[in-house]
This record gives sequence, structure tokens and C-alpha cells, in this order.
Amino acid sequence: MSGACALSCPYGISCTAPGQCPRYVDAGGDGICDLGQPTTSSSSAESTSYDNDDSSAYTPLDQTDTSSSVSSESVPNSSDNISAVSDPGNGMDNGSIPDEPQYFTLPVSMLLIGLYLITHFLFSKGILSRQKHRRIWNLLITAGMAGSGITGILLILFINLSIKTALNPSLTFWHVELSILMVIATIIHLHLYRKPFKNMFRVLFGVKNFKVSKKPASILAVVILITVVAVSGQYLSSSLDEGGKVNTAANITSNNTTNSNQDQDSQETSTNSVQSPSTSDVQTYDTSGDLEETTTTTKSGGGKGKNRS
Amino acid sequence: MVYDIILPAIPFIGGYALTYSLYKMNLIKRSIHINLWNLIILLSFIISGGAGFLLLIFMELGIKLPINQPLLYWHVELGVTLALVTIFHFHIYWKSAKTMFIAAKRRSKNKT
Repeated sequence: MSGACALSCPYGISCTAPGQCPRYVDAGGDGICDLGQPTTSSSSAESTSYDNDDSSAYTPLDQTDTSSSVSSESVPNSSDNISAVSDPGNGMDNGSIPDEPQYFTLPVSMLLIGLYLITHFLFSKGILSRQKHRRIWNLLITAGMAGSGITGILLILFINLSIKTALNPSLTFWHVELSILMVIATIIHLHLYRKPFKNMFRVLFGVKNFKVSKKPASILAVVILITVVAVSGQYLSSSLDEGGKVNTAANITSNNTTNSNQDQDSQETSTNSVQSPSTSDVQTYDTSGDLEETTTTTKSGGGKGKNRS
Repeated sequence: MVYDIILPAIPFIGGYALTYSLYKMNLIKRSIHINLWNLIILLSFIISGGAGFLLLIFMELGIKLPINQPLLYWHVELGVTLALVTIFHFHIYWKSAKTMFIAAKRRSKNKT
């Protein structure tokens, strides 16, 4: 049951109408998303039971044709019809994980961090004024916020009103990409306005000494740390995908217990791999702030002085 | 499950109207009004953005957790809040935000 959900729904949830995400599909008309629907007839303990169950839910045509004897040859046909009926945009086939669009999480994040390092370097050298530096990143965060917000509101409306358009996958894609831009730009925004940010806690909570650490840390070191964590996460995801392919349709019904164990293992590994970037982000904010403070003190006649003059 | 848009927005609109009117009536300081809403936008960003980022990573790693459903729900609901409070943020910093879109005027003229 959980194995079937784990195969189809990317979140592993079985939601009722109108669904919780734009991927909601209800070809069966039972008010439950077909991607997260549990297997209806689990009596057949053969390896092809997953495909048969989904084909019964999606395409009654093949079942009527081969009602008496569902041979193994009919299974691929039914699975082909699954991809035709259930999710034409994603092209789900053979009961495997639907083809999610590749979200460029890591490249976009690295690109933005690299861009910030460049603009920060230009600012510290006096080539770029503080106002322009902030303006660039304020524009980027505005673009990210506006894009992410507008696409998010549109997605909510589409989900609530059960509107199915061809734009849904691309809308989700751009929502994710612009949200990555928003998150990274917001962290940079916090770094740019770190003095008012610290002042916020002082005003609201009376925290006067909001000092994290005075050790000068290199931004490069933090970036390398983030890269290492991200690359290890990518490596982990690729290894999980390779392991996940083993657990597809053939072994789902027979190996539910092993899947749950693997899920638990992946949970543990995921918490490790997920928590570390967040902490590294915090380190980026804090330590880079300290770095800039040190650079501004040492280069008092450098960038800022030039810009102000 | 239907996502609410209006319902979570109402207390924030009312709250902003309240603090703004209190600030206009000189009952609270401007800094408290500003920093309170900066804190709210920070919290909503942490929850909404963090939940979205976690969901994205879980999806890319193919991890299915029982918390995915509440995570997705609160990501959406606080995303609505975040979008709304972002508008308030623009309202608070409108003078400096204007220069972002419109060509920045020479500050030296104002200084002189």
C-alpha cells in the first residue's frame, strides 16, 4: 500500500479532491488522487500486481478485453494506457516514478552565490557602489518574490478550482525555480541588511549583544563547505535512485517491509543531508558578515570610501 | 483538501492595519511597527521557504515521509501569508523601494 503510494506520488501522500498539488489525477472518479491511491486488489501476490491494480483503476478497456486471463503480455499494454490516461504531461510508464521535471536547485543556487560573491568583491573594491549593489539584489529578490508568489497563487487557484491546463507542469517548474531564487536572494538580503536585522532583535526583545562570533571566516571556505554538502547530497540522491529502481513495480508487493526499512534509512540520511545545508546557510550569513566587518575595518579607505566620495 | 487564501490573510491584514494605526496615532514607535512586521515576514519565510526547500529536497531524493502532507499544507498557507506580508514590507519601505524601479535620483542634490 505504501509502496504503491511511494511509486506514484512524489510526496508519498494520497489526497482527496481537489488535491493538494497540481499533479492531482482522478481518472477513476473516486475522489482520491490516483497517484497516491493504495492498491485495490492485493490478492495477487505476483510481481505484476502493481501494474494490474493501476490498470484496473485507470483503464478499464484493457481489462474488458483481457478479462478472463490477464497474461503477462497484457501488462505492458495496460501500463502504456496508464501513461496515456493518467498523466500525459509527465509520461508515467510502467508504474515507476513519474518523470518529474529536473529542478535546477544546485546550479541556480551556485550561480546566485557566485554572482553575489562577484558583486560583493566589486563592491569591496569600490567598483560597484553600495547603492547599486543593493539595488541589484533587491531587484533579484523582488523578481523572485513576485514570480514565486504569482505562480504560487495561480497554482492554489488551479488546485482549488480543479483547473487542469497544459501550463500546470511549467507553472510548477517556474514556481520552484523562482522560489530557489527567492530563498537564496533572501539570505543575501539578510546579509546585506544585517545591521537592521540585528537591530530588529534589539528593538523587539531587548537583546543588546547580538554577536555570534568574531572569528574571521572565509566566504570561500563556507562556499566550499556548502558545495561539499550539496555534492554529497547529489551523490546520495543518485545512489538512492539506483537503489530505488530495484524497488519499483516488480518488488513492491512482496517487499513492503524492506521498502519501509529503506525509507527509514533514507529518512535518516535525508535528515543528515538536509539539515547540514541549512546550518551552512546560517554559517554563511554569520561568518561572511564577520568577514565583511573585518574587511571594512581593514579597508576603510577602500570601497566604501571611494563610493561615498 | 482546499487551500484557504482569504482566511489566513484576514488576521494579518487586520494586524497590519492595527499596528499602522497605532503608529499613526503615536501610540507605538515606528521602529516597533517596522520590526514587528520584519519579524513576521522572517518567520513566515522560514516556515514557508524552509518547508518548500525540504519538500524539494525530499522529492529530488525520492524520500516519502509522513510529514510531507502537513509540510505541503503549511508551505502553501504560510506562502500566502508571506506573499501578503511582502506587500506590507513594500509598503513600509516604499520610499527606498521606489528608487529600485524608478531611476535613482541623485542623492547629492538632496544633500546639498
